[in-house]
Parts: sequence; C-alpha cells; structure tokens
Amino acid sequence: MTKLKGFAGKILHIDLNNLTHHVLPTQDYYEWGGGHGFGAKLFWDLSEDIEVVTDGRDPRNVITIAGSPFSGTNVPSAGGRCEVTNMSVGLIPRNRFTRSNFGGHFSSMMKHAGWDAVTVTGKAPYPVYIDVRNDHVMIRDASHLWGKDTHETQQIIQEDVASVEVASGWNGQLDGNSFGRTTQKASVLTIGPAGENQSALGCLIHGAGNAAGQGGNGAVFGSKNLKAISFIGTGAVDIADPEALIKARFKTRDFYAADIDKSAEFAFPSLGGKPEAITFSTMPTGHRVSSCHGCVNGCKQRNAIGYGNEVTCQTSVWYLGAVRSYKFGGNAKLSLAKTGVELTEDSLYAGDLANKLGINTYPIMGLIPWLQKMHAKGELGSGKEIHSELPYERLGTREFADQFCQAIATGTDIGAYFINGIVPGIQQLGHSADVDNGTLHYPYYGMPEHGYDPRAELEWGYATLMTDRDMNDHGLNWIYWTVNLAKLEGIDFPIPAEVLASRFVEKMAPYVQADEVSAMDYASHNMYSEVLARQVQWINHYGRFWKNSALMCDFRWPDCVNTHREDLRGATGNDEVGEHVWWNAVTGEGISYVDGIERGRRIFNLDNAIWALQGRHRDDAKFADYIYDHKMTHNKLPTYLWPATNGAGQWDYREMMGRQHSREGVEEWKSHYYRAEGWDTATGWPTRSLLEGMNMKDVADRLEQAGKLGNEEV
Amino acid sequence: MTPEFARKITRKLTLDEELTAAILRRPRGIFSCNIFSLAEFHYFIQGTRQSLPSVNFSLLEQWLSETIGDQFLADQIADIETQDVCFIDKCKLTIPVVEARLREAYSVLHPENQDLI
Repeated sequence: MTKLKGFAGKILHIDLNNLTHHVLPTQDYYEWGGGHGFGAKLFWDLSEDIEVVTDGRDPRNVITIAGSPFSGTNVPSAGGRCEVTNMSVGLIPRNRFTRSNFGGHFSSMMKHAGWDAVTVTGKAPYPVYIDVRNDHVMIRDASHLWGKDTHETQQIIQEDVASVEVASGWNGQLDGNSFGRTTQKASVLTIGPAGENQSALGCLIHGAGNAAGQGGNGAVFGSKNLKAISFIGTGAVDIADPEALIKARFKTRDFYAADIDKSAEFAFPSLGGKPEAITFSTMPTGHRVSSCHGCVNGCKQRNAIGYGNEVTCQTSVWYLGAVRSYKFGGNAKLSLAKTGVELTEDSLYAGDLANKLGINTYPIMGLIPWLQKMHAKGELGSGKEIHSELPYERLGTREFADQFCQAIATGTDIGAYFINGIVPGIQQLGHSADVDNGTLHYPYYGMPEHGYDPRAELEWGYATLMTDRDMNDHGLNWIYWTVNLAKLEGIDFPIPAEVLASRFVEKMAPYVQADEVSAMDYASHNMYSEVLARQVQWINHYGRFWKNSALMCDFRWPDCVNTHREDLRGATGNDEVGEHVWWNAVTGEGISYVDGIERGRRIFNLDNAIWALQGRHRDDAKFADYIYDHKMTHNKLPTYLWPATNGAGQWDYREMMGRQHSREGVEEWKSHYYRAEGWDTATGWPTRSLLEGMNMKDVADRLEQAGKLGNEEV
Repeated sequence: MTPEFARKITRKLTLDEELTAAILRRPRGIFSCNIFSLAEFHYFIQGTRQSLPSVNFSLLEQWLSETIGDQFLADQIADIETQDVCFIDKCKLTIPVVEARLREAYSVLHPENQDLI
C-alpha cells in the first residue's frame, strides 16, 4: 500500500509491564482511518483476554489515545480532537470497550512529534509518565508527580521538557538526526488524584480543562500507574494537496462564515458560527476566546481572574444550583444586588477544582441535589444512616466544594460510596428506587442524562442503547435548539418542518433515501419504526468514521442544515466543502462521503464484535425503568418541539412532552435496528456473513470460537 | 405589607416546597433546577446572555399562591401568562414584577439599609 499523506507513519506502543516501547507502522492500520478506528483495531490486536477482562482497571486493558490525518492541520474544526478508547470502568450492567474524546492541542503535538497514536498495555511497577520528544521516547519515574493535581503536573512536565523563557521563546529538541526548534510547550495529558485512586469518576485532563471522562479513562491510567503522557514535536503534517485544502477553506468561508455584525444567534453552534465561550453565565471579568488546534471557531475561554480557564459547557454549571441556593436562600438583598458575577465565579471555581482533581463532572452534577435532600431529610450527615463528615449545611460554598471534590477524588468519606460510579453507589446505599423512578436522571448504562430526554429526542436514546455510552452526538440536536428557541422567542421558525426534515434526510445516505422524510418524523406513531432504525444507523456509522476516527468536531459536524447559507444546506457531503473533500486533500485518497460512512460501518461492527466477546447481549440494551414507567412531564419545560406528522400526515413542529417509552415498542425498534445492521435479532451479535462481507473473517472466527457468533437470519 | 408577610414571602423554603424549573443551555441541554425562595427565583428568571430560564407559568402561579403565599404576586403572574407574547417576553415581564415585590418586602424588613438594595 502506498504511504498515505496526512499520517505521521508511526504508532507508539508502550508496554508498561516491561517498561519498554516499540513502534507499530501506521501503514498496517490505514484502513481504520485514525482515532476510534485505530483504537478498536489496536484493542482487538493487543488485548490478551478480551473475554475475561471485566473492569477497565485490569492491567490487561489496552488504552489508546489516537489522532487522525486531520490532527495538526487546519481542516476546520477537526485539527485538535483526540480519541481515547479502552475497556470502561463503572458502567452497568457490565463494562465494555468504550470511547471518549477531548480537544486542545494534544493530538496535533503528537503528530508534530511524528506519531499517529499512542497505545498503552500492562501496568508499571511504580508510577511513571511517558515523555516523548520527537522520536525520543522515555518512560520516566513519576513519583514526584503522584499526588499532584492536573495543572501542577502539566507545569512541572512542561518546565522539564523545555523552559522557553531561557531561550528567547525557542526551545530545541532532537529531530531524528538533526535538531528541531519550536516555540510551543509540551502537550500533556494527565490524571489527577481521582484517576490515581482509580475512581470511575476519574478523567484525563489536557490543558486547563480539555477532558475525557465517560468510561473512567482516568481510573485506567491510575490502574496502570501511569500519571501522564507528554509530547513535544518540531515537525509538521505532510499534506497531499495543500492547494485543495486552502481552496476548501476559502469556500467554507464564502458559504458559511457568520457576519459578526449581525450574528446574535442563541442557537447551537454551527460551522462558520462566531467564536464564543461556551460557559454558562455572564463572564466574570475580562476574558478571551480560545480554541483547539486549527479551529475556525473558538468555544473556550481564558479568564483574567486566573481560574476557570477552559471550564466550559456542563463543567461550568455542575455546582451552580447549589451555589445559587446557598447564596440566596431567603435573602432578597443578595438577588437584587447583581451578584450574578459572584455566582459565576463560584461556579467557575468549582469547575476548575474538578479539572484539577481530574473529576468527571457529568455524573456528580445529579448527585449534588440528591445529597442536599438526603441531608435535609436527616438521613445524611455525621452519625446518620449515611455517615459523612462533610459540612452539608454549607453545601453551595467553595469550602464544601473543596471537601466534596477531595472526597470524590480520594474515595474517602461520601466518596467511598461512589468510587465505582454514581449509580452503583446509590444502589449500595439502598436507594435504587431513586434511579428507577427518575429522581436521579441516569437513563442508560448508569450514565447521566445529557440534557436531552430519550422519550423526546429519540435518536439520542436509541443511538446510546446501540452503542457503548451516552452517545454525545449533537448531529440532529441542532433541531432542538433552533426550533425550540424560535418558539420561545416567538419568532418564525427558520424553516418549515417538512423542509427541515428533507434537508436532514438528504444527508443520510446510504441508509435513508432522499425521499424518505419519515426518517425525521418523531411522532409517537412513528417512534418505533424501521426507518428510524436506519436513521440511527446513519448516525452511528457517520459518527464512527467522520467524527470518532477522522476526528471532526461534534460541535460542527455533521453540518446538515446551516442558516448562514441561503438554501440552508450544510457542508456535510458537499463536493466542495464536505467531509471527503478535506480527507482527500489531506491524505491524497479519492474517497466519497459515503465511502467514509462505509468505513464507519466496519469500525462499528468491530466494536460490536468486541462487545459481544465481552458478554454484551441484546438484553443489556435497556433504559432505566422511569423512561418506560413515567411520562416526560410538563412541569419544568415550556416546550420540546420536533418535526413530526399528525394522523393525517401533515408536518409541523409538534410537542414531544408528555410521552413515555413502552418496553415492547423499544424492543420492536431494537429488532428493526439489528436487522438493518445484519445482526442476530435474538442476541445482537454480528453474523459470519456480515463480518466476512467486510473482510473480517478473523473476527468471525474468534467469535465462533467463543460461542458469540450471531445466527444468520433465515 | 406587614413585617410578618414580608418575612413569609422571602423565607427559605423546605424541600417539599421547592419550585421545579429548568435552565436551557447549549450544548448541555436542559438541566433541572430546584428553587427554594422568591429571591432565588428572581435570579433564575433573569437568565443570562447564554442561558434561558424554563418554567411552567401555571405551576409558577400556583407556587406563588399556595407555597410562597403571595396571592397578589400570583395574580400578576396570571396576568402575564394570559398575554399574547412569547415565552421569553413573559419571562422579561416577570422580572420587574418579582423585583418590585422583593424590594417592597426588603424595605419593610430592613428600612435602614435601602441603599444596599
């Protein structure tokens, strides 16, 4: 096979059992694309005992941090993402091969150092970190870093790698046989105390706040005695057709760039949207927007107050409710005295705290009000039914946040219950009913709801059931924001429901035909249909290649509908600015948009083969009871509109509130999905003909050997 | 307004008395929000440049009337609810109404500290 451009050409394999490393040629993995594809294939190739490892903290776990051909380039909203794959920690009913993803500059620096991915096996006999300077790989003692928070760890490593101040901003690194120079600091990915203590809530942190956490990645590092991985490189990415790349950039600007003077959109960020920090509240003081490598937007921030940098999205709000309740309580004076800034600062402080300790804030956000209530009911506190010495009467203060986060990170006090995850902890405390009845919103696999209820936003729930984790794919979620905000603002919908449905459907090749508009019909009479199964199939396969493997940013891709263009058509699949245009410009291949999706299908099926070996069965794919037993109530939301037809087939944006799933309906939908994938409908396992059709005979053989090969449909 | 009434409507509520609402924030989506006082509601309903409050106005009216115990305020919210304006405008109309009520209560409770409000 000819060497493809865009790739660095080498994958770094670290064997911590023996504290050695060796090089795997990327050429052996080209066909898997990068990112998740690399991670899945490396997991398959390097795992000693896929069938028997039941917890990500097992030393036999294989964790891969992978870039893509786009990493380190200026492909819009794609140059800085990085994929993490490993066996999970803390998921129910069983752990499984899973993924997470983070932004920043790690994958780009890894590429500039000459590596496409780093994969780690085994367990070090003592704490270590990996220090890579171009070709020079060192596995170094990390005893001086163990116990340090994520920010301090990065600073110590960066100082050790290169102190730029002493060399007029430049530092030198060996570059093969010559000497390269760079003005950049080393890019470091590290764990904090939560990962060191192998908490399922431990995550990986890069920079101030780029995090990968769903699946317990931090615990995996901790279990391997691996504190951090650092890269510094003085190279660049070899682009096959730089002119085509730049042309596509200009075209993208022409088609989609927001008019900064007119843009005041409060909608989901789209390709070409204006830079804006995705932080909850009024920014406390001066700040500037920052971005991942090569991004045309910027959705993070650096603050003049010196903390809360890159505290974005959910991390900026996990403690806000508690802060507000503590500060206001019954105090009218405070709420009238413009204390919004103070609230924001406390929230950013709590976000920063979690980032420093390396805690995944999504799961703990739902826990806070639950603890508040248990304490108020007299069931939680010193000497109570649930014993804890934390100062619950001060819940909402920085002092409480400090002690709570320390407890979570170190697995002490109340944190001891949640070392294996929130839902297992709640169950251990004898309060399973609160998960079952929806008091706590953890609708699937013990993971928290993302903010989009699966009873309304069907694809979010379905795609999660069919994969390994909260899918966190905002591809269709643009609809929620654009439509519902228009409704709340009392303005016209930017596009009629049927036209919007058509615009989305025309991007869903090859699984949905351009005239099958019903694939976007979220009406109750269509919620368990076969066409919705194929819609989710498109989401999963598109995502597995273009987003998880080519590493295009979820906040920008797919770009199905874009209001910056007159005909409202987004960049996805477009022959001038679509995904494949970038891929071909960077790598020199000549693939189509659908070719990429087909690669995603193959990667997704390898995932499913791994899950089958790990014991996954159709019966695992279930929502929490409250999704079936309770209606999505009206009491907190004014609206949850989505395109849907009525009984007469007329399209409109219709209310999704007030409905619930039925167990029979979800099972019916699952059967549609398994048939669409070619999986055994009884087990959900892949069949031999399917795998061999995708040139994966070895995978079929291994599944057969393990008794996990699906039966062919008669 | 008597001091007793002012104390009543500005008190911190118990868990059973909370108002369940939500905040909309992209890309996080919807997250639940439990409100334990009129002051807390006043902050909540203002939203921010990047977030929106989300509350059912019928429930709000009921909460103000039956839980907070302020029928006058509940009636004003009922008036707002019947207006033919969008949800966000209803929220905007609610802010000064609640703020005026809080100022009135606070002026009764702490007449010496007017300039701090």
